[in-house]
Amino acid sequence: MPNDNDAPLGEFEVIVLMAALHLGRQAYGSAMLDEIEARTGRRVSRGSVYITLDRLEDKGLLESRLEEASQKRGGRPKRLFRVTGAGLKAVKHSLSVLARMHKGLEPLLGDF
Amino acid sequence: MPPVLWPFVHFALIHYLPERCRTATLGDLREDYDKQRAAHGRWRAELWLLREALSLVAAYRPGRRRSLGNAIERLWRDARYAARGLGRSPGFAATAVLTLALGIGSTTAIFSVVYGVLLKPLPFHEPDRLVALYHLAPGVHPDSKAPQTGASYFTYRERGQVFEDIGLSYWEVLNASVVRNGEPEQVESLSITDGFLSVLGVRPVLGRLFEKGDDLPGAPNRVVLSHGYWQRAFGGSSDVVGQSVVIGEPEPAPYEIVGVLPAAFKFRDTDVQVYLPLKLDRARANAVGLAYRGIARLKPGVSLDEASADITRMIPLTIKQFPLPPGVTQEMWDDIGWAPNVMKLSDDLIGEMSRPLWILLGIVGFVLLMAWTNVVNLLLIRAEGRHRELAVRMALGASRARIAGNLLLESLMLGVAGGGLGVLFAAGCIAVLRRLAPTALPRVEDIGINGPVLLGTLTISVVSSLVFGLIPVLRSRTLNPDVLKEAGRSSTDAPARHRTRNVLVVAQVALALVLLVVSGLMARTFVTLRQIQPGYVRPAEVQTFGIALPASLIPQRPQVARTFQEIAERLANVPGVVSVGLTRDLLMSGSTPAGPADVRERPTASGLPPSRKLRLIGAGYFETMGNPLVAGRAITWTDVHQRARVAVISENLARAYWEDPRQAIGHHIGGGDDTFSEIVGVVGNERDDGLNQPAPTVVFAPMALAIRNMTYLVRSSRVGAPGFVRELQQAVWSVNRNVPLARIRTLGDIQARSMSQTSFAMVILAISAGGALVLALVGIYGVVSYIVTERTHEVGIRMALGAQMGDVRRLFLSHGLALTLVGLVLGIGAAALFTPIMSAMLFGVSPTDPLTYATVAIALGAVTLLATYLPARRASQVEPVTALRSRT
Repeated sequence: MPNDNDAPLGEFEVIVLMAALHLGRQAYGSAMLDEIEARTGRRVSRGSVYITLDRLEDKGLLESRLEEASQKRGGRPKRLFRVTGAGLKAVKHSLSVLARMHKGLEPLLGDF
Repeated sequence: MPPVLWPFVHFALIHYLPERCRTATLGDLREDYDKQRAAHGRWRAELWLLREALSLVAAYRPGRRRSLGNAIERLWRDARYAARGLGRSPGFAATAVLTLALGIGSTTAIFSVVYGVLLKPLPFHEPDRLVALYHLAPGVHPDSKAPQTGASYFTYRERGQVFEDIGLSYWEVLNASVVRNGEPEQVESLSITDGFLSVLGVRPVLGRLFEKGDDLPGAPNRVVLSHGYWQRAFGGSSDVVGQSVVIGEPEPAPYEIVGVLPAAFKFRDTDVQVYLPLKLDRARANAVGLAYRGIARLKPGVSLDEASADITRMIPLTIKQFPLPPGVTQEMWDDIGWAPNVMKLSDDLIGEMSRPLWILLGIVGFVLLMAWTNVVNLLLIRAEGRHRELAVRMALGASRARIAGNLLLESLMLGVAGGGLGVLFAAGCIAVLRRLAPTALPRVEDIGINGPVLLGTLTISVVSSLVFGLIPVLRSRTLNPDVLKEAGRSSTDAPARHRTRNVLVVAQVALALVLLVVSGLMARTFVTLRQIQPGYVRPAEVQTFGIALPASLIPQRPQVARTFQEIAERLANVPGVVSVGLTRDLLMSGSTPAGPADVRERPTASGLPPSRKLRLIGAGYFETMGNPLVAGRAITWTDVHQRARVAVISENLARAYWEDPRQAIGHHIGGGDDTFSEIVGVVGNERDDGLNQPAPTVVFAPMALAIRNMTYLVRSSRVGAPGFVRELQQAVWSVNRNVPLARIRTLGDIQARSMSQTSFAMVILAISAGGALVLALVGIYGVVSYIVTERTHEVGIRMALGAQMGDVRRLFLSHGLALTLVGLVLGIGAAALFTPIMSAMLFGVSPTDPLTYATVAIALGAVTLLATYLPARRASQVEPVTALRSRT
């Protein structure tokens, strides 16, 4: 099982993990915020994204490293994220749970 | 360019964000800020930054346990809960808040007076080092503030070891006539030595102050202007320094303007417009002419005692350096009993008002005490009513601490609301008090609601609410969820609870009695003052005004007195005028000079004649004042013009020498030199020092021909009628068009000023006593009503068993009566202990005046009985069936 407690990830956690997957090597806080807002079409608060990143890292689903500092950012480094193997599994697991739940409801909900 | 808000954002994020994401997050924000700024402009970007930072703080904050934000949020929830609770019983909340507002408001009002007058530092540089220099000279001067002499000034200034500098001013503010553009004008002037203003640390707004040498005899005439006079007379023109004005002091002469004082400068509540150099001639200074006020700045770290010691050392030096005046021997000088009297300048300026103000503050504090008692009572009753509510909350898991916190918060809200309303109430009171403020009350313009006063009010509000809030909290400790088992009916009355309330009622009646007695005594003082014989009758019918005839108008001296007489005659012809008189110094103006005077035929054994007041008058003075001649005749114009050596003396002076005042006629009275005047008449006493002071002995003499300043007194029933003053002015102008009228007042105004300290105290006490009465009534009514409600069930049983209405009424009445009686007895005891402290403020009535005590006790007893009777009657009118069904 991907998680200690075997619980599927929360919706927002899945969204954040998938944003990281979309961005690949360029996944850092601000970029992920933009990515999520662009894809979901809704405003998300910076605080909830950042704290979710921390939580996912604590769970071992993400890992982060600091990129070298750049002058453009007031001499501060970027914190780049990468989805770990466990993270990938967890996303798959969550999506499969949803897919299983979806099965049989196509007449009502239609296909994705 | 970094964002304006960056420091705050940086601080907040460093504080709230965990180490691992801090710098990167700050970097993200910084990068995105630049994008936002490029797209939307600077201020939109700043707003965006603020929003993002707040969102981060909000997200990370709960991660820190017991953070400040949490506490505030919880406090806010509790406050809303408390407010809802108070909102559910609006009657209770309103009564408590209004009661507190009354108590806090009146205390705040008086505290603002005490602060403004007594506590606020003087507006001078390092006021703590400023002292007033007086002497004790019991042999020649009646009070403890004997002035400086020229000799003492030079000695102390030159030989003193503890003073940075000493300044001198003439004892009194004088009128000087200033001529500008050919028009004479009367202004108040004060003569000062070169050090006077610099001792106070004044900095001129234009030009300079007096310098060493400006006050030397023969130095060029120079003048320093007050800010107000500069604005009024010169339109605030900046090139005024160096200009010349003609000032008639002592004879008209041009004075060069050297400087202008700042607007804030004010000394001794006077309205001095021009400061002239006090030119003391060192070569002619003597050691007896008491005429000057001394002020000094002490060197840093010097105490009052050290200053006194230094002066004690120098007193004998004075007569080594300066001669005694002719006729005064070394022995006589020693008999005067010279001693220093050095006091802080602030104490000198505040003078004798300090004690009455503290006493008033103390008395008004009683109202606050009563307000607290009332609120405690209300809270107790409420706490009992909420027994079940609190028990339910505890049963549901609320901790005792939380419940206690809620109760405290509730009383805190009451206290703060009461304090807020109290400040408004105080602002109203202050407006009234400032209008009533006696002339005896210095620094009236400093009275107001300011920072320290508000801080005081806030402290009172918070401390009081915490103190009275503790009482229900302590009660809640005895809470027990078992209350809930008692099937809805409240627990039967605990005698302890009744005891507390009874004690509170007794205390209130006692406090109200003290306040009523105190204000009753003040009212009697007021009435007594109005009944005494001050040396005049019906003061409201006497118009007074000053007139000066400067040498520029009337150069020849003998003509001056003739002009004064002519003006008096024209004034007498104004319709409705009964009589006209003149005096140089008006009664109770504080400017009547005093000097040694003795009867030639009956010299004082010691050789030094006692001090008497000297009043220089023209004809018609006694008649206009309404002061009856006891013997002999009055002073006439002929006496004035012939410079006759005659005098009229006051009755108390005559009686000091003779059994029968008539025996004084024909004797001679005079000063230290060999000039004596024949006593031609004796008149009634004059209370020149104020109505509440004993009448001084007075010598009345014809005005000297050289006097150019006189005050007219005009008696008429038309005083105060529109146009009357204008008609008087026309009469004066018919003699000389260039004479202005100055200081136009009535004798009634002057008397009111003399009584103003009493009126001021009386108004404050009347307000306090009124408040106290209301609070006592509310208190006793509330308690008896509560007891009645609580015992309705019992009353129903009694009545069902055959008790009569009268029996029930008596049951409650006797309870109220007992409380009232105990309160009255304790109150009388407390008042008897307390009132002697205020005896200095009383006049003609003893602090333990039995009539006042009895009247107040009976009146208070009667109204409290009424307050008991109303609920008692309600109790006796209940239907037994209703009562038995009632659930309290």
